[in-house]
Amino acid sequence: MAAISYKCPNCGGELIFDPNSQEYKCEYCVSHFNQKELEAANPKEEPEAETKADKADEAEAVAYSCPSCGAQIVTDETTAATFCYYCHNPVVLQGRLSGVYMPDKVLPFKVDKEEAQKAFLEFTGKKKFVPKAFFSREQIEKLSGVYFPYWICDVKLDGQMKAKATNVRVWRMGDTEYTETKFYEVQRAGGIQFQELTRNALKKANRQLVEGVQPFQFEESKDFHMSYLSGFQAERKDMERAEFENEVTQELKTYSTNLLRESISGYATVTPQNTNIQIREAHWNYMLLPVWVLTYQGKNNKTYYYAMNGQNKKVCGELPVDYTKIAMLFAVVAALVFLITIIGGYFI
Amino acid sequence: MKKKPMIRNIFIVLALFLMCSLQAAAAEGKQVFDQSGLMSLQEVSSITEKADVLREKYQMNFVIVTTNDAEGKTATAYADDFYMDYGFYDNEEKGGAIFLIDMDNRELRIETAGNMQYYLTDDRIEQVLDAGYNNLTEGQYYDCFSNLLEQTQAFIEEGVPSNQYIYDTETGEIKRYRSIRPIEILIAVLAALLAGGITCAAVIGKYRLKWGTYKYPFREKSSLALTGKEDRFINQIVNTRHIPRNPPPSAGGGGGAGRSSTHTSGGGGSFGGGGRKF
Repeated sequence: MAAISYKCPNCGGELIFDPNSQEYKCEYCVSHFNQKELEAANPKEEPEAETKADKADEAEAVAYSCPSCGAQIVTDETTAATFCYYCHNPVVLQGRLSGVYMPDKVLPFKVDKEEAQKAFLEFTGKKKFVPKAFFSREQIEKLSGVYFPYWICDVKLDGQMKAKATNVRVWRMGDTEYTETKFYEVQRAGGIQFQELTRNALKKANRQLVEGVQPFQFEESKDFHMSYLSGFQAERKDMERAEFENEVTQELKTYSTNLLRESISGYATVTPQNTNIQIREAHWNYMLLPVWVLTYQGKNNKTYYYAMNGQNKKVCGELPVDYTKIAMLFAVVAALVFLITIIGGYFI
Repeated sequence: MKKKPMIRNIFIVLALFLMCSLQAAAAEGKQVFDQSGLMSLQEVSSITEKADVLREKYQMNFVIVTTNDAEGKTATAYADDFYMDYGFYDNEEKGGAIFLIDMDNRELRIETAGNMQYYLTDDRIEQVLDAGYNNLTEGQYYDCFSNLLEQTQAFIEEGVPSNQYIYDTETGEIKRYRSIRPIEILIAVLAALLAGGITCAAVIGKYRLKWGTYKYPFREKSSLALTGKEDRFINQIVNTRHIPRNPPPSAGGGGGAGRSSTHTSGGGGSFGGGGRKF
């Protein structure tokens, strides 16, 4: 198993994926290459032969040598692409994403680093209750682009629901008011399709953040090529779909109940009794999705973690709160409501 | 307006003899006019003292009048005119009431003006009349007035009833007494704290990712094709309820507990009031 770098056919420099052009660029000679040109220039690796030779390595699977400078690259077990510690060249750990770890699809980065920094500053700038000048540009430069592994699940299922329903009719005759309540037992059954239910497949990832940057537009996903990872970090999955199946089934049941419940109309009240679902088809896709991650050392010595969708710049992360501003908000809202209520009370 | 009782007593004696000069007396703040001589001198001075104390305390007129001759007017008109003619209607007090024993019409009458209308609603006037009526029929006129004053004072102490409103019997106009009661302040404070708290909690919660994060939008990402649809009627029940023929009017409506009915007197003043024949 080898660590590879993609070399520029013109100058031999490292090629990295450029989110703006969706092509590969050489930072040294400013050449651009598309997927085909890159593959032609960099002979296809024969993973089989190498994997066998490096079987022993895989057990440890933490040390690689940099194809550019030869220095040792120490990685986590799940790292699939990173940068050489010494020469800072992009390195893709090819074997890490072969066989069962080969993703079905990849969604390439669309937002480059500069844009991501700008978007992040804009995001924090819009947040009114963040302490003033909390986020500085210098620290935001430490933003890094990571391909995170996700499971994307498309499901077809059959659902049945039983519910109790009532209808009420009121009328008058002379001095008497009649209230008629009719009771119904309602059943609904149907085929339901769910699409793109997404789960993060990396244990060490901050699940709340990397799932919080959703939604992704999966239409833009591409067939997987190792070269997309060049210039970014990447992690491979370490959670199998089996780990999610129970949780996802429960969730689907809740959604199905809601959908079937909403298909019942014409009653005053509807009380669902029970729902059954049988999953007919479940298609799980293992995908790498682009996320910009940022660890921010706050001035209050607290570390904040942020994730930004590498496709649409949506940011997710806990923000520091300026309690003086919150107190002011409280005072303003309370004063306003107090005034309105008092005026209301005066006129009653 | 405090005076020595002695001087005032002399004044009252004089007034009894010189009825036509009463106008001048009113200007001096005199409130008791026993024109029929139903009370002894001591009683008059005692009731005068009571009325003056009340005026001092509440800045309202407490006028006590007896008459043998209503000058051909109804008791209501006589009381209203008396109140206006003697300058009580537009003196510096904030309102007041006139308590009249009209021996001519054989009627006990209470008329209210100004702020007194807020305190003495129709219901309360009935209760004030109740308080003095028995004494009146038994000829205890001093006790009658004394009880009327006492009951009136009790109602003033109780405050304006929460559902009080003034209803002009001639124009049908309704005027509500506007005030902020302690309970309303309490409710306002609670509502303010609650609203402020919820707003701040919403902001902090959102910043701390307690809510507002991504949820799978299952309605957009799903499609449902119904294959089975069954609606089975189980049973029905019918409840009957008798509707009362004349539903009692609600408090805010046509004549609730808080109503103070007013009319305009011949002299142009607005008076509320009530009376009872004896």
